[in-house]
Amino acid sequence: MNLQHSMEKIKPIISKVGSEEIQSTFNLLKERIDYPESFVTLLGETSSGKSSLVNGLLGQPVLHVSSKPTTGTVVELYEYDVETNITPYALLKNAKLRRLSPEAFLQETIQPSEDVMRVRLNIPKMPHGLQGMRLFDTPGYGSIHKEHEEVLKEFIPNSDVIIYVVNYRVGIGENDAEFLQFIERFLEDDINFFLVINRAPSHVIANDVRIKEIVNLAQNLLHSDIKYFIVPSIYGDGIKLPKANDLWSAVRDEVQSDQRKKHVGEVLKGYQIQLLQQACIPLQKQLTLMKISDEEIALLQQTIKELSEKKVKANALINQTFERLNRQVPQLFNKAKENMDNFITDEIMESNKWTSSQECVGLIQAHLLPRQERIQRESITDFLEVELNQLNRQLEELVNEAIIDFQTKIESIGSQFDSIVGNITKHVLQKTTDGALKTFLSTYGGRGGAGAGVANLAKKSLKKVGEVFGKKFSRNTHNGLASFLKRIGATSTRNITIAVSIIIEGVFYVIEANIWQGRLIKEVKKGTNQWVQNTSSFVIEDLKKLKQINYENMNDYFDSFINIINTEDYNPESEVQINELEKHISEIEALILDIKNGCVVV
Amino acid sequence: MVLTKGCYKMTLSLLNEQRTIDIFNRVLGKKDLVTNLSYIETLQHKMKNSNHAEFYVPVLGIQGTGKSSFLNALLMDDLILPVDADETTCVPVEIRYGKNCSSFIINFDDKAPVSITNAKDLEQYIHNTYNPGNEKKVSFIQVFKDHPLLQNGVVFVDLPGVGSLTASNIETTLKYIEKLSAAIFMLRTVPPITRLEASFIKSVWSKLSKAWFIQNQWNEESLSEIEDGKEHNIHVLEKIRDANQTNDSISVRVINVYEALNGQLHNNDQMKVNSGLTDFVQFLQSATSSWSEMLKDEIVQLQDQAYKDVIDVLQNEIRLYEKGPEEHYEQLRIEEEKLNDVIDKNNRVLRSIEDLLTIKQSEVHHQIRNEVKRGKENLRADMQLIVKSNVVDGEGLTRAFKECQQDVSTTIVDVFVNSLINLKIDLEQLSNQLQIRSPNGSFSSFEDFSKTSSFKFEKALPNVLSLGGGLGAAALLGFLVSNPAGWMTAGILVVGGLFGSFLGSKTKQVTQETRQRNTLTQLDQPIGDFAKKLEQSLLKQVDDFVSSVRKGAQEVKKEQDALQEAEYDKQRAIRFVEIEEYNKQLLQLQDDLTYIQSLEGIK
Repeated sequence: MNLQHSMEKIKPIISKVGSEEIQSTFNLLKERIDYPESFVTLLGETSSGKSSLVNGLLGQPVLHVSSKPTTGTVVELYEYDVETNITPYALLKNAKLRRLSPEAFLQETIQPSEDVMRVRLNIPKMPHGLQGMRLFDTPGYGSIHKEHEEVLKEFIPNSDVIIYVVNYRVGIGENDAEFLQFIERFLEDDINFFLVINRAPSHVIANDVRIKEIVNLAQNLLHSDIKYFIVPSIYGDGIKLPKANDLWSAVRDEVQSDQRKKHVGEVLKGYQIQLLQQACIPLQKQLTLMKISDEEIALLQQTIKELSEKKVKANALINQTFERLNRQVPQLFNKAKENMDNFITDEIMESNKWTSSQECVGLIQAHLLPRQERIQRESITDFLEVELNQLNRQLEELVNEAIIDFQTKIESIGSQFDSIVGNITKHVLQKTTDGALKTFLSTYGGRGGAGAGVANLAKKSLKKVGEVFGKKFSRNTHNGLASFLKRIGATSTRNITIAVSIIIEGVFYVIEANIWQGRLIKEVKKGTNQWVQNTSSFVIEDLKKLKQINYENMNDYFDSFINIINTEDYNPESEVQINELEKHISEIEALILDIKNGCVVV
Repeated sequence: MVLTKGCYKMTLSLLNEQRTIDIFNRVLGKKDLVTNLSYIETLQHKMKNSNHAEFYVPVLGIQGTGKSSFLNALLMDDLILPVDADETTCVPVEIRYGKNCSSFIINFDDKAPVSITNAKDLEQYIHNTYNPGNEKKVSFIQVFKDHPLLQNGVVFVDLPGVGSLTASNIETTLKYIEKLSAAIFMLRTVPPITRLEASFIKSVWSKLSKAWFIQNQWNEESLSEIEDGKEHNIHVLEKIRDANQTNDSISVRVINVYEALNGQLHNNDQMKVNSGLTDFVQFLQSATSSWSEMLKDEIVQLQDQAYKDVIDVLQNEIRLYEKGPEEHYEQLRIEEEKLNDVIDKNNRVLRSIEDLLTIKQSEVHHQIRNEVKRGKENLRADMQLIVKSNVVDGEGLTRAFKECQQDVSTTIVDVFVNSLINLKIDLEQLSNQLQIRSPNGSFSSFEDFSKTSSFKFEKALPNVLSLGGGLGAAALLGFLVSNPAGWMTAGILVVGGLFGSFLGSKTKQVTQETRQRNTLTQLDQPIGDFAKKLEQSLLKQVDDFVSSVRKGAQEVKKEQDALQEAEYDKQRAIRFVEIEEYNKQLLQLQDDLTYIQSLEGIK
């Protein structure tokens, strides 16, 4: 049975349930199965030539290219065969699409309007046989901070392939190095990495010293052998459309590899099962309600009340922890800044007033400040890791205890609850184990619709579904936490680079031997000040979100049980017979089994 | 030391009566493989030692946590121990009870001790500025003080900070950790426990479970900062404890060392109370005084257990003798079978240990090689970027190179410590399944034995359980982050020596690039050497650890062989015994039992 085939079987069952929510989830899933997609992200410093590559791919100068930094927002290439020409849209923050005129398109790419999330080009047919590829051209690392955020958060972790573009003449700079180090942390999650050395003089070949240097450094930073492509410079004044045939074929081979297809297939299969289980719950609720007596309902309500009390307790725990963290984080950052300042001031004062101004600046820029940043930042992220893990552990204990208690009590009321409790547990486990199906599908939107973000199916893997049956609650916030910490790292490093550039600018012309030290110290303090402000506020902001996620997960979990018999679902007038319901449920269960046992045919 | 009356008499008879000694030696058997002492000798040894036992309390922590300040505040009325903002103490200083407070003894690695009388001169040996990297090769310094806390044989030790250990004083530091009775570990509020501290604490946790953690409060830190910081530090310690799979309780006390020191120097009791010092002194007093009670208790318990065992064994033997030679022989046969069964089971456990060692050894090797490879690549990338920023030579480069190496090592060592701790825990779990035989002939798993027994009498314990890996890791950790006298600097000197002064102007851009390439090429060798040496020393640690466990397993086997042999001898003796001789032996046993039971003080 292939995925489409399964969908055909699922369709009538779902429509019989009559839930709008489940129906729309079904539709989204169906679309995903009918139109498989892959995600490719172009990254690299400003002016490394990413947009030229895109133009080369399309065979026409669609994106504006100039020697100045040009791309100010993420540009998405989206295959949409309904259109006959390449058509630009703006993807708005309110999840709507706005068609753009050529002028408006140019304007939005360079300087996006307030309400624009990113720009999208609908492409009737992707060249190089790259069907279903969604390609994201990102602004250079050196440009706007806000965009950088989204790139870190959404695009890198969710990509199938990352194409990193380096200008041959510039090589890998500090910004690149940081960026690559950040990417390295995601590489094991089966993201493929291709390095493009762009604008190479036409005679350059693989054993050119510069190429070797660039590739070596990239390999040292990424800790793996990487595929790289040399794209030659195009001379003259005309329109430049670099042909990177090797690159695009390699991308195609990668995203269309059997292995990747199979993986995606497994994931989709998991979602099908999850969808069916979700569909089962309202039926089971109804069935249970038809079977139980008023006395039993009263008992149940008492038990639910006790569970609600535990929910309040869990919320209080979350609240308490985050309040404390909100107090501590600014303190830690201030202390970190103080440490950095003191350390570097000592360094500056100790160096020779007359001879070492240049070297001192170089050392601060290349080594001392970045290292201090790392040491101080790591102590803060280590701190957060311990605290958040602690919270996680406490919540886990609390929830497990509450749910076990709840289940035991329910069992003592009567056996008619067994199947519904079992199914809810399963459902919730899946949700907490691997991201909710609904969230997943709605976040990255449907074909032609206005997806708000990207997501790679393979990343939202449900491969663990089989393993979690029968197990108790274990919140899988670990990944969330890890990426939270990674982002702090990236942001903090990014901010120190900005600080460094402030310092360098500030002292560039000061060569008088008697004043450079004082001046440099002042500039360093200015730089670290900016670092502490930006980074600390970022962390606080992210903590808020994390708290929110914690609340939502926790309440979602409790509510699934608290609403176990939600009388709103119950229609006493319903003409549905008990045996009909039972038949429907067993139909679903049989199909689940069927899908589970079937292998995936892509 | 004064024992209770009954015990005292008993001890006297034990030590003086040849007959008691003979019975004990015969009944409780051979020398202990570990200590090479007989039961009686162990007891005598303990008795003797308890009269002049010392209670070592080293003060541990990373540099700059205020260890010396704390000890000054606790025991001195002057700044005897030098204190500065950064790393100060470079050699261990022992503070013990003595009336002559103005005499200080400096002990050396390679020559006779020197006695000095001027406290000011102490600095010449203790302070890192005057004795950098302990170049004077001081092994430790003794300071005397007539402070009440030091009575009862309590010795405080001011240790160099973790991270400022040199190759030469690392061994002495580890010796103190090895023999500590309790320890004080100094922490800070901000920053909270760092990676380096955590790695260190993790690697010596088995020893530190008896540690009193003190969080040094700085004046500007507010009450809520302190409380939050304390809570966090406890969380980190709990995490370390859980990684070590123990359930020791953890407490962290807050002391404002600065205020405590001021209070002490100006004789201001209120300040001492406010700082938290007074409370802690009281706690220390009760802890150390009850320690001497505990020592006494331990000896009393050891005796009680010994008597009980002897009586059990005698009664058991008498019961067998009363059955007559034939049935007696049969019974021995049955017991032998039981013993063989247990030995078979134990051998299976030992084989599992062996298998685990083989697998884990190569696993950990692999892991270390991987980590070192990563570290090497990181180091290369770091240096490439630094050189690209035109730091191509001179002190700056040397220094950056050294620091990058340190950072890389810290990460690798943390991985290393974790994998050894996990291996240790796995091994302990396996070892706990080993069955041991108590003197009265019954078997129990080691785990039950060590749980129920109120004291661990060294006898029956196979030394496979004294896994020393944690300490090896600690030694290594201290060494790696220490001032790198050896291999780290050797590499740096090569690079640093090759280049002249800094060229910075634009017109020489081409030269600049060539220079960058040259520097990078030159760096290749020291980076490779660094990685190789790091890898070698870590692998050696693993191998040493593994072979020490293997040796332990061999000892267990040897002991089992000896047991089987003894059992066989006993059988043969009964089988071929003359009936008169047999009856004589029975009478002797009965007489021995009566004698032992007649001794005063037996419960």
